[in-house]
Amino acid sequence: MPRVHAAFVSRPPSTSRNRARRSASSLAALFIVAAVGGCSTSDRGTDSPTGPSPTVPSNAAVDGEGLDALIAAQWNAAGVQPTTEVDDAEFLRRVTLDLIGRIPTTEEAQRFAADTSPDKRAAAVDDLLQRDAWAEHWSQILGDLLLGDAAQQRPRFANAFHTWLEGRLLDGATWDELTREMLTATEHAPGGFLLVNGRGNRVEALTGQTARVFLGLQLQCAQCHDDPDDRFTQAEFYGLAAYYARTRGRSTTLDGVKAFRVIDKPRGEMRMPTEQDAPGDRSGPRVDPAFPAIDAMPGNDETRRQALARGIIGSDFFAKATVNRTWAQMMGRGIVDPWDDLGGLADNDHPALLEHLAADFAAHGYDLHHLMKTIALSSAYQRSSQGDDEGSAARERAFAQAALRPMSGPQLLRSLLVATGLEDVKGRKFRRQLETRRRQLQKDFDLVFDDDEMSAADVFTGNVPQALLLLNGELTNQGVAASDGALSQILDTHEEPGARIDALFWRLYGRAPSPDRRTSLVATMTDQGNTRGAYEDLMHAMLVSSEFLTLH
Amino acid sequence: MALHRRNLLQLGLGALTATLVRPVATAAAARTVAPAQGGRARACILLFMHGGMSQIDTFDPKPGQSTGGEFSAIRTSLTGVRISEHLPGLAQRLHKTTLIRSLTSREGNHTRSRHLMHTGYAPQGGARPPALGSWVAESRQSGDLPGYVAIDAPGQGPGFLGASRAPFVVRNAARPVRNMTPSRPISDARQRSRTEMWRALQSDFGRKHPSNQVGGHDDVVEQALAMMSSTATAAFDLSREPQRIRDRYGDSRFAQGCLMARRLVEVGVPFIEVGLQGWDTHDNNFERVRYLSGELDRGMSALLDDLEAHGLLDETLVLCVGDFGRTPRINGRGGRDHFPACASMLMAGGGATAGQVIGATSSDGYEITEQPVSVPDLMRTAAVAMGLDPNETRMTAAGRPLSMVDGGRVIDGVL
Repeated sequence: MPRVHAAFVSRPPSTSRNRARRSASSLAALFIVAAVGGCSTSDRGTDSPTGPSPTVPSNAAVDGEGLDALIAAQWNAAGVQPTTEVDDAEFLRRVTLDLIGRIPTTEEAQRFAADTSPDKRAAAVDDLLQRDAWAEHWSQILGDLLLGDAAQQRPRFANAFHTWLEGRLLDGATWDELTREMLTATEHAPGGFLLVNGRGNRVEALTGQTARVFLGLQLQCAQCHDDPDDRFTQAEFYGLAAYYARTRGRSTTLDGVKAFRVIDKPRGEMRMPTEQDAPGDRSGPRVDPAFPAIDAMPGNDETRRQALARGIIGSDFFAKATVNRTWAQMMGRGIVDPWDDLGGLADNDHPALLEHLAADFAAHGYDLHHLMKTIALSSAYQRSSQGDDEGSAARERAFAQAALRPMSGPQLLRSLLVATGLEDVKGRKFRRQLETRRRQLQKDFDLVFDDDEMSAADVFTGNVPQALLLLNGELTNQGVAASDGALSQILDTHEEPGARIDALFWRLYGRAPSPDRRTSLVATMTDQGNTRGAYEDLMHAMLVSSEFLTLH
Repeated sequence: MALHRRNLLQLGLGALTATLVRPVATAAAARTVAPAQGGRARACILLFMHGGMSQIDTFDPKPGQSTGGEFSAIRTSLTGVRISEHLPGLAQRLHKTTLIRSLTSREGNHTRSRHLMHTGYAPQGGARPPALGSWVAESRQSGDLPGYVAIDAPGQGPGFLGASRAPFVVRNAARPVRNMTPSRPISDARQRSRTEMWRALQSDFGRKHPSNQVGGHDDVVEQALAMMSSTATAAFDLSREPQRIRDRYGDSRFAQGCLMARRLVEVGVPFIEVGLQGWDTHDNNFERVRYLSGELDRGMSALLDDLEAHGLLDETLVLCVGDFGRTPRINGRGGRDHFPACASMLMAGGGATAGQVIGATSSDGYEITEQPVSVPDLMRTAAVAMGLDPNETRMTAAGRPLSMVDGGRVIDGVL
């Protein structure tokens, strides 16, 4: 017999529900370090590639020309000179990490380097977007975003939701389709967004998360009081919440296992708290479903959730939020930053660059492949990350220089496996352990607290424990020592120190060593008798280096 | 033995930059009250009541009131002052502390209030102020150990002070700290070889990317390398502590953290945060607070005694504070919700005045009736106690000056 799911009735919500804004999991910031002013490094850079003339990428995106003009305008407006175009090796590494969540293999890197066709970057992007690994990587990013920290409270829902999302991305589902399916879901798996965020009668949390992920709007202040910055009133917050006033989770059985359905009650209204800072209190005035950013009066033939989905997809903010978030994911910061602060600008005066990309995204049916390809082939994405220290912050803000970004946890784990060959070595058994290891890696960096607003599982600032984990942890140490891993292959194939060093550089860095570094490493390896141990140490040093651990 | 680059920095450049960076502007000083006495504290232990401690059920009881809850209040070593019956150890030691019953803020969201409690600033776009722990860490030598250690607590970020001042997080004091040695042992010679090659690769990358980010990563890894070869890490190993003393703390996770904190103070770590989790008692408040009070009472009592016995209390500032207070109103689930308007906290040692209560609340606990204390007040007081200049202004990454303490006044009568 169905009963009202405890998730929607059990606990009163506490004050502010909306999670700290965090996007995808990030093993963050081994080196996301607040840049400290005044630390001069200008004596280091002698060969700055900051060029005087902006280069127009040879292989403009499908809709790239209008876009690149807007990007150039942004550079001009900021008064910055863009860095040179990123070289092939760095481009492939960056875009492979961004789209499928790992470094390129030696073979991929060398094939790309040898390819002389003029549109090879566009071809590489197309190829990456078609891989299963794209759906896997982006379902993880989007799933983490959609469920937020709440996923940890409901791991079973979260797993089902992730699996569903990955399948839909593999099918080529567009973002408007996915949004509608999530918001109007009745089944367990696609219902994950509602069931996880709305657990424990947390309609406020669900409301805040809805506004944030689909519209790029921060409502958390308005939950308890009118936003002092005048963005939204408390009544408007509860107007959005009113779309969920009739939504409930019900327990059911799915393939013999306990599961949940999402249902709509025929009646039910949203009431506001009577006093400020009194969450859970519902004795105030009734609020009807309405929200400034959307235009969706529920009709007679639709549920409130269906009206909400219609309103959200029809909103100006819908495409902008997705574009801005995807841009932030691939560039390190949003065109409007933070990406979920689209409501923070006077009169919603958004930059032309964002308007253009949003219009293009909508015109292409909210196709995520199209959006990511457009960004990846834009002149902004294809900037070099190398430039003088001076002015680099301003260039990065104007997207005239690529930002250094630390790999996320999943990116690092997959890249370590590619680099060390552990995946091949251990075969199927190891693969099965992968998910466990991924969780372990997260746990290694994570503190879990039992209160209701714990930090995201995988957001951490760079710190010594992380460095210790990489220096001393199993993955790196087992990775270099494995008797049939990548290093063994390299040492079996090549005998001369130079060739062995070349192979290691291609494997880990996706490029050949510089002549100077090669010479000095050949001397070191020769000194140490060209032994396996010497190469293990070199490989270990490379795995914990900034070049390996960042997107650059 | 090879001198680590970080040590060189600490010996030479560190001191140099410290003098260069310091007094950017002290103009603000003119506007504020003259610095109070203080500066005796060499270390600070922050006991952080994660989730927000219910003040009425701990340090500000309201017996006989509808908001008073289930617990009774007991006498303490301070005449006329009563606290919860579930804090008997601290009741006996209350004369060694200053009890503040009027800590107030406007932040009722955990993430935001923790930011405020650790930095003295409410979160706001871009400014990234450092945690007090990071600031203290920067101001003191701590040998090969990090200057800010957070035990069973996430701590707070270093903000613009950079990753090398981030808290070193120990997940569980009762277990060995992880990854202190390679999972596959290697010789010292090979370790040196790894380090040398790593430095060469970093310098290649740093030449192409002359940004503070890469420098920050270098610092963090150098710090880790220094720790790996240091003997000071024995402070993390509680099994080296005499059983007699371990028994006094007991084996709760929090108490073990308190013991580790004392060991870390001994070896020169200037800021240690110990978390006690579980105070977010929206439901079943009384059972949970009773249990948590027991943990707090035993751990903190043992810590105060132990610091005193080691002659460390006078130079160690001990703070006990949480996210915020909790509502006087008891909700339908026997819980108390977030109540930033009023919280209680304890301060002890470090040269702070002992044996007093600051602030008071109305009989139902809703209003502060006497000497409200803001979080910036608390930050300023702690900074002065630690000998830091609260009027110091730094340049943030964005090139804007930021005062290390967001206004406030030193709490009257504490220092």
